[in-house]
Amino acid sequence: MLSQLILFGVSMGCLYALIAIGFVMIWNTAAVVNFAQGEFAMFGMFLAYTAHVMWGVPLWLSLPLAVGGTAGLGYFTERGLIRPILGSDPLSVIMVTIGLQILFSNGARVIWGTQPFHFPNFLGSNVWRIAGLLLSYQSIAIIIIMITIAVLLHILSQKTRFGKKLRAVAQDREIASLMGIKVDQTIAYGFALSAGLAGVAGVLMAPIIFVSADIGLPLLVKSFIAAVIGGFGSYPGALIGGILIGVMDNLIGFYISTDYRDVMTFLILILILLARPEGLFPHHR
Amino acid sequence: MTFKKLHICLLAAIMVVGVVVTSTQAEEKVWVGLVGIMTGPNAQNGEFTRTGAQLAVDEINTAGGVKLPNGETRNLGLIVVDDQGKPDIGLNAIRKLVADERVLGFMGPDYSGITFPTLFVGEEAGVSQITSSIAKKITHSGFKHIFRGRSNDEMWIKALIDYSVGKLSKKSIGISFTNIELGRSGRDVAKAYLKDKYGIKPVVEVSHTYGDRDLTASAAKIVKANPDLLIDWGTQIEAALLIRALRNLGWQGTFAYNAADDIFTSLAKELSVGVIGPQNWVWSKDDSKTKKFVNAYESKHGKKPSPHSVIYYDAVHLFVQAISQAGPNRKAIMDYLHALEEWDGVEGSYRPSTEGGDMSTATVIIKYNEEILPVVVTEFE
Repeated sequence: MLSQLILFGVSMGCLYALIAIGFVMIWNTAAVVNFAQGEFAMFGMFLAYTAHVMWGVPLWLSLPLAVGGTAGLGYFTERGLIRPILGSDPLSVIMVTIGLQILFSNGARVIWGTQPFHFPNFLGSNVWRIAGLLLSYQSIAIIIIMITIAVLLHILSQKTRFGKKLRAVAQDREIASLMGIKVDQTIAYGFALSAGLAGVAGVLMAPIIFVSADIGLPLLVKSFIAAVIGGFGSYPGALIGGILIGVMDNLIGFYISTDYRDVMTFLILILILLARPEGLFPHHR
Repeated sequence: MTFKKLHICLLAAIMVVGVVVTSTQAEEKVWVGLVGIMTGPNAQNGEFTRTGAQLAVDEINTAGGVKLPNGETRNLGLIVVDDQGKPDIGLNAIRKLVADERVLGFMGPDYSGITFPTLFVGEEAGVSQITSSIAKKITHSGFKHIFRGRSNDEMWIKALIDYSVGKLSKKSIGISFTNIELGRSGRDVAKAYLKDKYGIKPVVEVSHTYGDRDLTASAAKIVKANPDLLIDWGTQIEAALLIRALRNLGWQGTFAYNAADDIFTSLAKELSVGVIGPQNWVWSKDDSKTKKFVNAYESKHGKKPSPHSVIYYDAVHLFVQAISQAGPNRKAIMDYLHALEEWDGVEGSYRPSTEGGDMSTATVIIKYNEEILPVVVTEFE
C-alpha cells in the first residue's frame, strides 16, 4: 500500500507542482506573489468544461483552447491589473492579487453556478496494473505530461531567446532593459506562461476532483506551500515541493489521520522553514 | 419648473408608487420561508429544495391561493434565504427569516450541522419549522416547534443495514463518513445498530474532511480492510470522489450511501451502477401521486425531482393546510400541526402530532441499475 500511496501522491503532486512553478515564474519575473494562481487553474477547468461538455467541442481542441484561454487571461490580467501597480508598495500588489482571487472565484460562481460538475476522463476510467501497483490512465498521463513540460520548460529557459529574456528580467530588470529587452512585454508573456501552466494543471485535474468555482483557493494553498518548501523562486524546488505535498497528503492521511492531514502538512512546512528558512533548493532558478 | 426639479419630482413619485405597490402586494399574501444552500459547492441541493417548494407555491396560487378561515383568499409567497451550507451563515439567515413577522412558518435547513445549532431561533420565535435534516437528535432534544419532513438517519441506517445484512447477507461492513454533524451522527447510529442487532463490528471506520477533494488516503484505508459493503455517510461530492478512489484502488465491494440521488449520480456517473442507498422517496416510485408530482416538476424544470424536492413540496402544502384551518398566526399554526394526526403527501403519510416531530417514516432502499436509474428494491414504512 505504501508504494501505491506514493504513486498516487506523485500524480497529484505533479499538478500542485505545475501551479507552483507558475507561481514561482511570476515571482521571479515580476516580483509578484500571485494569489490568483489557483483561480487560473480553476478557470482552465471551466473553459475545458464549457468547450467540451457544454458545447460539444472535441477534446483534442477543447483542452488546448482551455490552456490557451487561461494563458490569455494571465496576459490580460498582467497588462490591465498588475502592470499599473508594479513597482509600487508590495502590500498593495499583494492586495490586488488577493482581490483578483476573490474576483475570479466569485465571477466563476456567477457565470457557471456554484455546484460541481463532472468532467469525463480523457482516457477512460481504466486502471493499469504493473508490478502489483494500480495506476489509472489519467494518473499516468499526468506524470508523463509533467515530465514533458519540465523538459520543455528547461529547453525554453536555456535554449530560447524568450527563456533568456525571462531569466534576464528575473535577475535584474534594469540591466535587462538596458540590454534592449522589453521588460514589460517579457513580464506579460511570463504571466501568460504561468497562467497557461495553471491551466494545464486545471485541465488535468478536472476529471479527478470535479470542476467547481471554489477549488482555486485550496489549490493555491497547496501550491504556495509547495513553492515555499522548495525554496521560493526555485523551479526545481517548486516541482519537488509539489510532489512532496501530494505524497505527504496520502501518507499522513493513511498512517496518521485523514482529519488532521492539512494540520500536519502545515506543521511540516513550519518545521522545514525552521530548519531551513530558505527552503530545500533556494539557489536553483 | 426646471428640468432638475422635474427630474427629482419624477424620481420621488416613482419611489412612492413603488413603495405603495410593494406594500400593497405584501399585504395581499401569506408568507412561508425557506432556508437552504443557495450558493456554495452544494447549491444543487438547495436548488432542488427551492424548486420543490416553489412548484407547490405556484400550484396553490394558480388554484386561487390560500383560503383563510375568515373566508378571505390570499396568494402564497415564499421567502428564500441562503445558508451557504455554513452554520454561522445559516444562523443569521434563520434569524432574518423569523424576524420577518410575515413569515408564518419556515422550511429547512437541510444540513443537520446547521439545523441543530440553530433550533433555538425558531423555538424562541414560536415559528413552526419543517426540516429535511436527518440527524436523529434534531427531533430528540426537546424542541417543540420542529417537524421533520422525512425519515431520520436512524430509520435510514436501520433500513439499509437490515437490507444489506438481512437480505444481501453482507457480513464484513465498513463505515466512512464526512466529518460533519450528518456524518458523525450516521456513523454513531450505524455502529450501534450493527452491534445491537447483528453483533457486527465494522472492519474499518474512516472519516474525511468536508470539502476535501483528494480521498486517496481514506480509500486506501478502506481497501486495506476490504469490507464487502461500505456504508458512506456524508455529502454527495465526497461520496462521488470516494467511490472513484475506491474503484481506482481495485475495491470491488458494494457502496452504500445515504444520499444516493441525482446530485450524486451526476458526479459519479457510471460508478453509480450498483450503488445502494436509503431515501425518503425516489421519483421512480410507482404510485399516482409520485407520477403526478414528477410530471409537473419535470415539465417545469426539465429534470427529475430529487428526494429533497418532494419534502419541501409537501411541506408547503402542509403549511397551507395549517394556515387555511388555523389562520395566519404562528402559534395557531403550530398548535394545529401538533394536533394533526395524519396528512397524506406525495412522499407518504405524515404524522405531525408525533412526539418530537418525526412526521414521516417512509423509507425506500434504491439501487442504481445499468442505466443509472434508481430502482426501488425494498420499502419500509
